[in-house]
Amino acid sequence: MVTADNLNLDVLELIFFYLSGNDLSSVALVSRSFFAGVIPRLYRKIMFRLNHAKRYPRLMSPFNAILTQPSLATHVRDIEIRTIPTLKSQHHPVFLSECTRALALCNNLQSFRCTVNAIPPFLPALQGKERLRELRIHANLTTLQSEKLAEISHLSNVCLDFGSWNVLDVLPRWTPKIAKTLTSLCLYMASELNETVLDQVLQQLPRLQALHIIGCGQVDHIAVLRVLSHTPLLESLSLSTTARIFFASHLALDTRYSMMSSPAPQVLSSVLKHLQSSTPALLSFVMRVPEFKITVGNEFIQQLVELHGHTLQNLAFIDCGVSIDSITVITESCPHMKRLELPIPMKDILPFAISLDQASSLQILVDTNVHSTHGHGPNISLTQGNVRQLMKHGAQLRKIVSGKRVWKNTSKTSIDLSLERLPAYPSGTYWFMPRDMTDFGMS
Amino acid sequence: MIVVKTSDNETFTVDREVVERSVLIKNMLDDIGENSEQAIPLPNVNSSVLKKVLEYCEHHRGEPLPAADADTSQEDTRKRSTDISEWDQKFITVDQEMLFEIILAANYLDIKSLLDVGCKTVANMIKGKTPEEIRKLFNIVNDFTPEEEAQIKKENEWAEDR
Repeated sequence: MVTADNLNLDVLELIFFYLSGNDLSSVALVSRSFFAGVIPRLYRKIMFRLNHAKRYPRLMSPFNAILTQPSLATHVRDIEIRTIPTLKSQHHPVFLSECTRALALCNNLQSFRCTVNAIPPFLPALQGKERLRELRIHANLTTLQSEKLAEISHLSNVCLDFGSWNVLDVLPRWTPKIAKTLTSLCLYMASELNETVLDQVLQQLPRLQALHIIGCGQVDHIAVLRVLSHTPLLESLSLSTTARIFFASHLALDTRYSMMSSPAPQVLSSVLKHLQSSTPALLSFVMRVPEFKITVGNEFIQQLVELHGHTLQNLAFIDCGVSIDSITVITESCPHMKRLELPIPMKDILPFAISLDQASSLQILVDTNVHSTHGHGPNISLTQGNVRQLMKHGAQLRKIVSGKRVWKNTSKTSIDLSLERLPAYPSGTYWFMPRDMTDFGMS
Repeated sequence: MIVVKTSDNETFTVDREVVERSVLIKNMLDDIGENSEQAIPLPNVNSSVLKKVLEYCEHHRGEPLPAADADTSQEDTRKRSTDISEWDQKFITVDQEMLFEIILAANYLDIKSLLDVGCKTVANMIKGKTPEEIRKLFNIVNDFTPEEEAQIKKENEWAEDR
């Protein structure tokens, strides 16, 4: 008789690939065969976060586990380090040593992300990793360290946060080495970046599909738009203006100041117009305003849907309000919209639900109302009754995400709700990157 | 029409389009050619399981097959959805032994979408359970020594959500 315990290893591995977090550590403790089956999944992605660092060294780090059992290293594909434990306000030397030695063993590594300003010790261990494709680092490096970084090749996705002038100086010499493979480049908060360097870099990257230049004070949207002539294949662009902007088939707007009631300064509308003539079809739009009390101007929304409503599939409004009138305009004018992120207007929940009657393609609704917990008013959160109401109107609506909760409707004909908790670690991506329909798909 | 023969010597006559959802059988047919009268032997599948598998293939006939060289590396790194469509959900509501038999048959016959449905179902059964509850669910004996158990717990504590 076939039982779970004697399923072959391949099948067990396939099953466990649909699990994550606590479920994986539970499975590991079931039996020897389950333990063997869950190891590849368990060690595929290693994330080290604040709550790990707080418990270190009482908590055995995954890197230490790898050093104890080096065979585990073959399974590691992704490493993401968000926090490094400290000892006497220095980066913990034992941890750094464990971490770099373990990293050196992970020959199948595909992605390395470390957002802590502690990259230099990792640089030697990152050399010669033939499968490494994705790199996101805090790039505050010296010239020698930058040269070392520039020896890494085959990368397809590079994100440099807080790049020092030394790194930017090396960049034009590094890019020829990765020009054949690089499709996505992100320079975040590189205050020394100037148009000359950017121009040199992009000249060598004609295959680039995604460019994100955010928070680089010396390069404004005009400069970025100018150098785009080098990158005909670009599909996704983020850029900054005095009110910041990003775009192509994906457009993200990051408005930096908005003393006026509507954060739709002329520059935004001019970019929208520019897009209309220059891009294929805008599929995805993200907008963020730092002062979350501000409501996006209805005029701007009108312009957005007028120009791009027929192609838009993803819309996101982060840290800003959207009036019920604007929502109605959006649902009426975006027939292909699959995913909508906005602060759900709790006060206008009924008209909001009714407006969803028009959103015939909408599958995922994400509530971006997270700030209400810091506000002074009562924290009104979505109830199951609200969710049913919304699902009743949105014919294709399958998922509603609010705070850490995910409601799913599994039935096509009626409303059959299930509630899950969002995993504790959402992927560490920038808010301005294009949305993926599969995230929030969850495990 | 194609004839297939199960481990318990039952034969089934099926539309080629239906049976070709199995990559194993599709490759066999490509090898032996169109007009073979011979029944295809499936020594690893019994008739009650094949009946279920064919019911699945019949329902999903005509749907595009996943590309053989589909790059899974990208989806591997991100969390996978365990959503199952309504029909599949009903279809896979079977007793545990049949569920595992279907998974093994789908693995052997190389029917990726059915294998996925089976694996997701088992994964959904596991979700949120303690090791002891999982053992009880699947009738598994704990074959670790207490020391081994403690060691594994210590090594993998980092993977827990907090």
